[in-house]
Amino acid sequence: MTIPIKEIIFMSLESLRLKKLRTGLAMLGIIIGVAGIMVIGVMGTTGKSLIFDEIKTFGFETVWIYRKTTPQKGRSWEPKGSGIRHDDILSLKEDIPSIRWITPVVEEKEWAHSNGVEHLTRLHYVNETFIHIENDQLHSGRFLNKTDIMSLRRVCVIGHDVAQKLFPSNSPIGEQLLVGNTFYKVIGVLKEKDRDFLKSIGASSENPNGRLFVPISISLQKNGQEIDYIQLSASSADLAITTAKQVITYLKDRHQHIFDYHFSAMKNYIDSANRILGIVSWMLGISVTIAIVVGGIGIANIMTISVIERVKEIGIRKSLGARDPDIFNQFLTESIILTSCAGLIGIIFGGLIILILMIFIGKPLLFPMSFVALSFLISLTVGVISGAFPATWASKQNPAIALRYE
Amino acid sequence: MSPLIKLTSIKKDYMIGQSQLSVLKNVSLSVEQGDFISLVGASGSGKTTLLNIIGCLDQASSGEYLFETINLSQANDKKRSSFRSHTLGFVFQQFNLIPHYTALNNVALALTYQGISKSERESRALCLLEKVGLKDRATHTPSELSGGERQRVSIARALVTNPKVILADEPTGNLDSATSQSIIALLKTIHNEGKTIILVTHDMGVAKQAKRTIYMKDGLIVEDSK
Ligand SMILES: Nc1ncnc2c1ncn2[C@@H]1O[C@H](COP(=O)(O)OP(=O)(O)O)[C@@H](O)[C@H]1O
Ligand SMILES: [Mg+2]
Repeated sequence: MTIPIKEIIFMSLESLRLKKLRTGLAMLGIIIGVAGIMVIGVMGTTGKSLIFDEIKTFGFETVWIYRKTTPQKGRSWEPKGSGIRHDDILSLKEDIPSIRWITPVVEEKEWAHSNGVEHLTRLHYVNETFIHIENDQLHSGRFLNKTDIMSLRRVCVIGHDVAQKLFPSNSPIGEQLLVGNTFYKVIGVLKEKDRDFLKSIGASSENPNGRLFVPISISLQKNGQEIDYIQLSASSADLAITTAKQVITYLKDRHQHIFDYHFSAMKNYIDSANRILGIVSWMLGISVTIAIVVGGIGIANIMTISVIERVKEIGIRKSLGARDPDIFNQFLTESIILTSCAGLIGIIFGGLIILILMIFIGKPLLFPMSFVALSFLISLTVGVISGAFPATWASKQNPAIALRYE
Repeated sequence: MSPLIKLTSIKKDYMIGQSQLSVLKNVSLSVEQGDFISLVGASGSGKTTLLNIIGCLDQASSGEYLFETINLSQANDKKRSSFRSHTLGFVFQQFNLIPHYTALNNVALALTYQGISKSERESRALCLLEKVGLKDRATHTPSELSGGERQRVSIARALVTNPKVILADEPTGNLDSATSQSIIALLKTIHNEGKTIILVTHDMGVAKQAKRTIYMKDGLIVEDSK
């Protein structure tokens, strides 16, 4: 019979305790590797959710359609205008089923006045679906509705910064706001939107909280049927690109091919974000793998030295009746204990780094338990792999020769 | 009555590079239950090799090895290690104690490989340490013990499993003559309690104390005085 695992663990701990410094140094590689996995895992998931939270403030399914202003080939004259009319929107919605929400947009920069305070805002003439397209949340009041639009009500919904600037001390709801030369009654305030990260990498330049939304019908009355661009939401992110292309073909046909159009879609940004995150995690993953492999080689090295040094001990144990599997188990257990201790220390060490980073960044980090489990599993595996060869070698020693060893 | 150990035409060869070295040329030997044999011969004559084959620490190149009725010539690791564990006790010239284990743990280790519980191991080991007069040294490591004391610990270890046979390979080779005498006296006591002993030595003074002396030369038994 082979001896029970409890005994073997006890034996292994005893031998490891004997060579503390060496054991500690051998563990370093694994400790660093495991801490690396933890930090990378946490940074990766946190980074990803940070980016995607911000992308979500545009809406994953969102598409913008503009007129392409580069001149068409073989044409000496260029038509004026945006090439999109308000009635296009209504027929688009009817004819293309993958459009979930669609709004015309007319943008103007205007000064807004209230209580003697002036603030330059970006005035958006939109319809009632805009709030859904960009996943906006209301801080208070309500958004524009169909009736506001049909009856050309002079009402507006303001962004968080506009509210802060113009109504620092009181609720803006119900207040009159002079925008340009028109008075609007404030009916809603939007919640603050965070696009700091996208802004910091140059992917978003406009302040989403400095906008002011009023009914599109007011622009139609003032400026005519032409609108600046279309913003729409496809029924799914996967359908966004085909929907955009369909809309462009549709518009070209409707306008006798006088204009050409182009689109931008959040789906494209999501894809490149995923691509970049994928590359980054691959590269980090490879470096951590290298650290762990090097650590594993370190363990294999130390185990081999330990086995060679203890050939005599192997001979003694065999003379006392140890079977080959007993010797194999003893050395394999030592290796596994070594790497799983290193794994645990690495997990604690990684956890500390994450804690420090969290304090430093000032943002909560996502801490997936699966990475803890993965790290531990990897250390166990490294223990088995690096220990298997030395342990096999140890167990195959001929006791007669081992006992002659000085 | 059939012998306890019966070796028939045992040969042991080593390949050294291209040439073959015959260490045991043709050894046949019977050992009776209760024998006290001393095995003498010049250094290099093959005494340790023969003892290792009897002890199942090594395997003969050819020949037959019977222990009672068990054929051990071609036995596998499992059989051989179980045989070593339950039937044999070894005593070596170099003591061969595990340096970082206490005397008690060194003795108890022999029982670990029989799957005996820790408390029983320790009480039996302590009992044997008492028998060899080292009860008060139980918690000492080998480096804290004298040569004679170390050899007593290793005799206690050899006895703790209550084996049939004690194989001692020059147990007094590293000891001064007074200490040697006390170790031999201890072995004699053990023999009188019923153990079969095979004792390798090249000290004729020691060898004479056995009932039977076997002389080896160049891998052959040249004389067997009963
Ligand atoms: N593993 C080995 N490989 C080659 N030669 C060996 C080996 N073990 C022992 N020998 C040789 O076998 C011979 C007998 O050795 P041994 O049995 O130890 O003799 P003794 O114990 O009588 O001094 C010696 O010449 C020794 O060099
Ligand atoms: Mg010898």
